[in-house]
Amino acid sequence: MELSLKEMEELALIARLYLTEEEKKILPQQISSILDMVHSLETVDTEDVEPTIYPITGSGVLREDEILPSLAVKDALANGPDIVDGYFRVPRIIEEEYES
Amino acid sequence: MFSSMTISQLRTLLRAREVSAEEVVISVFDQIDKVEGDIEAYVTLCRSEALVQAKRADALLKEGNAPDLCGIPIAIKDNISTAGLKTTCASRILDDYVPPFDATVVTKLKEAGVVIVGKTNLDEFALGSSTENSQFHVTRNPWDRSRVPGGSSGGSAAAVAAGEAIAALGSDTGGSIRQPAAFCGIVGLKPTYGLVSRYGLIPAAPSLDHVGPLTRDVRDAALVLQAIAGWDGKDPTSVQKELPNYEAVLSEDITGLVVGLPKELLDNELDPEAKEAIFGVANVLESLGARVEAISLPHAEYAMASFYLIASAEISSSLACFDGVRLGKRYGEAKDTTSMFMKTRGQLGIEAKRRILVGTAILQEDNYTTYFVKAQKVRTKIREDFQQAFGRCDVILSPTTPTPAFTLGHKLDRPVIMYKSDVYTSLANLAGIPALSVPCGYTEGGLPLGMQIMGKPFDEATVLKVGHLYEQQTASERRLPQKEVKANG
Repeated sequence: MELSLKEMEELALIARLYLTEEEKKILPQQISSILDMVHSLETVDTEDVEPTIYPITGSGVLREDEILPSLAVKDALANGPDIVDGYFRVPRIIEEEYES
Repeated sequence: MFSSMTISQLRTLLRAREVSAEEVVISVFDQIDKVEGDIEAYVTLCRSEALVQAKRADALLKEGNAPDLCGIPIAIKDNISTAGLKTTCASRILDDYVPPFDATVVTKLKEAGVVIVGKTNLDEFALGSSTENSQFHVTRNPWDRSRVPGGSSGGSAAAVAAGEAIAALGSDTGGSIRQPAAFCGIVGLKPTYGLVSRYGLIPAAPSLDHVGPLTRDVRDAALVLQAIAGWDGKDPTSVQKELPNYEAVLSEDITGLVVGLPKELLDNELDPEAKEAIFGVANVLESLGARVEAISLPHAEYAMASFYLIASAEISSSLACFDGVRLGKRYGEAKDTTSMFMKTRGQLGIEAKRRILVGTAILQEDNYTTYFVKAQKVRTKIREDFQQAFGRCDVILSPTTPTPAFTLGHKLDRPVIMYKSDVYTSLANLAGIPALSVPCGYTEGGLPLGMQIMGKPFDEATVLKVGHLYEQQTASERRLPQKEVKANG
């Protein structure tokens, strides 16, 4: 699978990933070579084979639903880059449509 | 020097009060002062807190009922959460992140009495095989400063090899404990998936991630495993199992044990010295009463492709939470959220970006079945190969890596070549089985080589026993990495 610069820029937008000019120069070729490497999988017969999502069975044991102390709001917010009144603040998402 | 001893040696001395935990910690920090300028294994050092912990350990030792690892200085990879102590993943995005909680493995180590020396360097978000992807600094191999320590747990491996910690915790997604252990001439164990809790390990690829020990010898790996293993209600993939006493089984013999030697892992890409070393190990194990048999893992050649696709898809999803909203840093001025996300995530290094882009590509609707689900199906075939093989043998022997430690910068711009250094190790992550790397000789140039012993799910006991017996049998040939480390050398 060859990846063009345009296709890579589309992927980067989907992934919300800013790329430098230098990265835009080298990444399409590198990613194409990675996708070439994985082509070999096509030759494996996987008819009627179930996919493995987790390698070991026996996990997912349910525990009792107990009420335990949880993180204080102050601690949970402590690492947020922009905190106001107990909320994470981000740039405005919805434009104001009318002035009140 | 206490800083070059094993956990079991120090345990005896500490219990007998022939040395204090404080003296041991001081000895480790003296060694750090000597070599850290050259090695740069750590991101954060906790000198004063370590001394406080050591004094606490001494009080417990004096009372005579000290827990198992009481007073042992241990380093923690910097993607494992430590309450109140910076956990950066060697990323600019998390360079001031202070977790409000401990990972379960850290809680357990604290209960076992360890002294935390510091947090070790890694490839950013544990993505890499050389620790060169750290956004802070490069870590050097204690055996040869012009070479990489391996990765992504390169800081942990270098710290243990250079006497800057007695043991360390690492994480292993495709070989990140075992490959640096092999490159630095120490022991590294990736346990069975689900045996050791991942709660508090900042995830890379959750279905492949594991936490495990890096130590000076196999007995120490058994001791650390004992302390960190066990079911954890905070990790939904954790498994409930009765745990054996891993140290007690080390002394059992291996007469009649069957060692499988997979022909696919002794191929042409393997360094001739590494290949010779593995046949040497097979001879030693035979002399100890084991039987060595040729086996086949027919789908091994597809492991790297399957691993890379699954890992990239999971990584692109895991790293989505580092978006500048809830934790970590937000970079650049932004008028809208899209631009805020892009500028913040734009700070990621090129390896993280490469994997996110590949992951995003194969999770697209058009590619999902052809690439991602296909890789998961091949993963099933690989697991079936192991089930078949373990019908015939008890453990499987292979090299840990195709070559010894490579030079700094050598593979950084050639990702596919770099990924190949994980070719033997990623199999055990795909299958979820235990795998141990043990030093098994040296190249003519004096670089350490590692062998990998893989076992049946939850059969760490047999894997450790084989590793330990080999180590005992060849003890006279073992070189101490510290001897190679000289201040300003």
